[in-house]
Amino acid sequence: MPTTIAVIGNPNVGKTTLFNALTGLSQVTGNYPGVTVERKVGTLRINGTTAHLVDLPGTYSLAARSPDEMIVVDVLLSQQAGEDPIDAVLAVVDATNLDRNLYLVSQLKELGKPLVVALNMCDLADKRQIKIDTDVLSRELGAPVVRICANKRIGIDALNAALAAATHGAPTVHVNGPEFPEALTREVDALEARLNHGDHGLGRHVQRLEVFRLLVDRGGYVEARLSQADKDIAGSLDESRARAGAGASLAAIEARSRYAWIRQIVAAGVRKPTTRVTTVSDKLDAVITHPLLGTFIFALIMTIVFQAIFSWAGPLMDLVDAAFGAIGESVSAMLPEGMLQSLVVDGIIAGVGNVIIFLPQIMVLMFFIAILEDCGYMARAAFLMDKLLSRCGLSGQSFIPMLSSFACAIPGVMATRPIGNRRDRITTILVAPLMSCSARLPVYTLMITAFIPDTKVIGGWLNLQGLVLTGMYSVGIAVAIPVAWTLKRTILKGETPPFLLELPTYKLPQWGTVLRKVLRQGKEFIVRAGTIIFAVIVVVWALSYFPHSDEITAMFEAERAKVAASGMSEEEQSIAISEIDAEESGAHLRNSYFGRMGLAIEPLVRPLGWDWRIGMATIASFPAREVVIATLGTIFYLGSDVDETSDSLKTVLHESTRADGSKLFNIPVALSIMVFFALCCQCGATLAVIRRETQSNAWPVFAFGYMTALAYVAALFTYQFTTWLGWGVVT
Amino acid sequence: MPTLNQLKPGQTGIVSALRGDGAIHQRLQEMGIIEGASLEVIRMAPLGDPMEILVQGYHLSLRKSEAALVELA
Amino acid sequence: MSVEGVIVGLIVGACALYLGRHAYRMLMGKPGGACGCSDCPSKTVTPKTKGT
Repeated sequence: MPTTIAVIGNPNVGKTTLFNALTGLSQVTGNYPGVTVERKVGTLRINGTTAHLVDLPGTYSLAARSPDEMIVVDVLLSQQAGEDPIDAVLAVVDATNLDRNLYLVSQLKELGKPLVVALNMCDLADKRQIKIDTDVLSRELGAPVVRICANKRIGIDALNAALAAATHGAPTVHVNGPEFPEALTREVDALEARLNHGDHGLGRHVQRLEVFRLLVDRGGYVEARLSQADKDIAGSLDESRARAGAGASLAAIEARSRYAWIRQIVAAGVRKPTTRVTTVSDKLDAVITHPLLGTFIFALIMTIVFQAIFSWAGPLMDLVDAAFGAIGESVSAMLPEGMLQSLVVDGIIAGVGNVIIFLPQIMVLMFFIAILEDCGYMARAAFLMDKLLSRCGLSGQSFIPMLSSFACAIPGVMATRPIGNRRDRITTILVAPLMSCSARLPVYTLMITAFIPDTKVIGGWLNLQGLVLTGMYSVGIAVAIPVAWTLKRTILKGETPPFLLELPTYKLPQWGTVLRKVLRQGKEFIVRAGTIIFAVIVVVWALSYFPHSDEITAMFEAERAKVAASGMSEEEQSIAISEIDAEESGAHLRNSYFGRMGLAIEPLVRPLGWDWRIGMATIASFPAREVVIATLGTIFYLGSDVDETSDSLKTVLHESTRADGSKLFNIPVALSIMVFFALCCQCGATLAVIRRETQSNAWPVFAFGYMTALAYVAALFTYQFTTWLGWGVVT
Repeated sequence: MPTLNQLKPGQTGIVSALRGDGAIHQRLQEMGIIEGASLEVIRMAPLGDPMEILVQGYHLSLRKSEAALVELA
Repeated sequence: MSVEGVIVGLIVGACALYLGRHAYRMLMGKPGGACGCSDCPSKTVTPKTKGT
């Protein structure tokens, strides 16, 4: 059996970076508390044998209250299902902030497993003139201490050697951890003896660390778990606590004893400058979290991002667009006219191609989000937004998952794990998908570039298209606030949670990490276009192509024959025939299975200004939002003459008409589609993750229901209001 | 007895006791706000809440309602 | 039935099957990497469960 080593540390200590350096496993890191929400495992070769390295979520303490912390405790106690028992622990600590970081280390001492301490960010500590004597520290802690600098890969070999020694039975120097008052130690001993006595209901050995947490953390995770397994435990706990603390709070006794031990160690091994050095980070914070400037900078960053999405990605998108047009044309020339040609040209190329075009934009968006996550800005955003969120009954901590949801709601939903209170966590999960994720971007861009004029506003400073995009992103935030407020006052009633958040030191984004995130997002997008979107589009094509009735074909054949026999000039004939061709395509589409379903649902979507084609495209996009681009492509290309495939989707949409011959799309229709997609929950994967994270079927159903209802009402209002304003008049 | 929420940016204090009980009480202590620890208020968020403090050599943000639990000597 | 019909039928059938499998996996709570996020839960490496 391979050796298993747990990697543990406070949030923001560079734990994930070190994990990558040790295992070489490609993985994403961030810079705000709680980014490592998922447990990750990598392999490491030490001394010629393989060891498993388990990356645990960042935590400040083993007094578990949130789902994240529970996982940490369970893995350490070897109680986590599917995880091998831990053989050793690698604790990562921040050299610039030893006092608080050693608190967790002091708790790890009670585990009694081999422990190695990696002293990270030594370069920063040197810069701040913090001198650390690792030999003294090792001796005082009773564990090897290795100086490293994870992002520059310094000290990795030495760390490897220390791990090898620790896991291969090197004699560990026995050093006592913190000293607790005798009354507390005595109660822990008594409780440990009682729990491990033959006739209790647990049937397994209860380790000392677990007993300690059971006694000290009143209402904590260990108490909840153990008293569930054995009802007798709860009854006598309060008496034990009263005896152990002699009336005082056990939490206070624990913290005092541990910090006393830490102070002793730091006094022996660390020399700090007596005056506080003002760091670059402090200077930056004076501006970024400034009451006025900070809010302005937040708005500025967002505006720059959205402007960049258009101006940077535009030329690349035109290139991809042109390439797909050319492919479509040459394929239609190669294949004989018929079913197969229609499948390839109208289905696959028109559908998937129109989605792939948006790859450059998604990568630009991801680039900005990755930088913000990596440099430490997220915690500041939470700090700035806390007051606002506390009015909705949430805390600034809920803002971090919401910001992450701008990339994708799935990591957003998963980033809610550090939120301890279940009601607050579910509220955050329910509003996170309202943030405009990268999959909405193609929908916005298509509608904006096709129907919003490309004019400069505010004295030529800003572009109207970019401004509308900013507006669309604001819709999600603007709606999330009242939704959270309502939820916290009705079905998820509860107190406003506390807000305790570390503001980590700013650091330059690691370009490797940023690049990895951008490439990964791009790859996922292409994979999705090639699998799920491809599959949906082929099925949609089949539903909109068949039955392809021979009667209709015969009817239009007859019309064409009439034209040929009419004795018109050649030019007149070709115009008449192409008109008949277009009518034939339309007739086939209306007669298709998709068309028949569409006509049935049309009354439902007409108030939004949509016709049945938009309605069906929306319904078909249930698996993922950007599918709507593909289905629109397929439906509208099928309904038009095949020769037009070289035209971009924009042009085709522009030319589409309603049954009465009027233009189908105008500004109100485009806005109504965008608003609908901003608020709806057309994403199967998000619903699946909500189901998994809430362990319930009701919450994903609720999320889908409320978001769809909200989207419908908002789209209805948008269409009717902007039409009333007269924006629908084509100029 | 003054409490942390009454301090203005730039002012410092030494923790003398922590009021309250339960999870938040425990979390504050784990984060280093213990008897005898020195604190400095760095700034307030735009709407006056939460506040940013320097404790045990790092920056922590907390609400005034939580800061009111921290008694200063 | 023409050769063309068979090819189209096969492609459409395969896609429909794929979608069915995808929907099933969603219901079972395995997003299957199709979500496009950079932290896909289904892609996490988990050690093999050992008999306890």
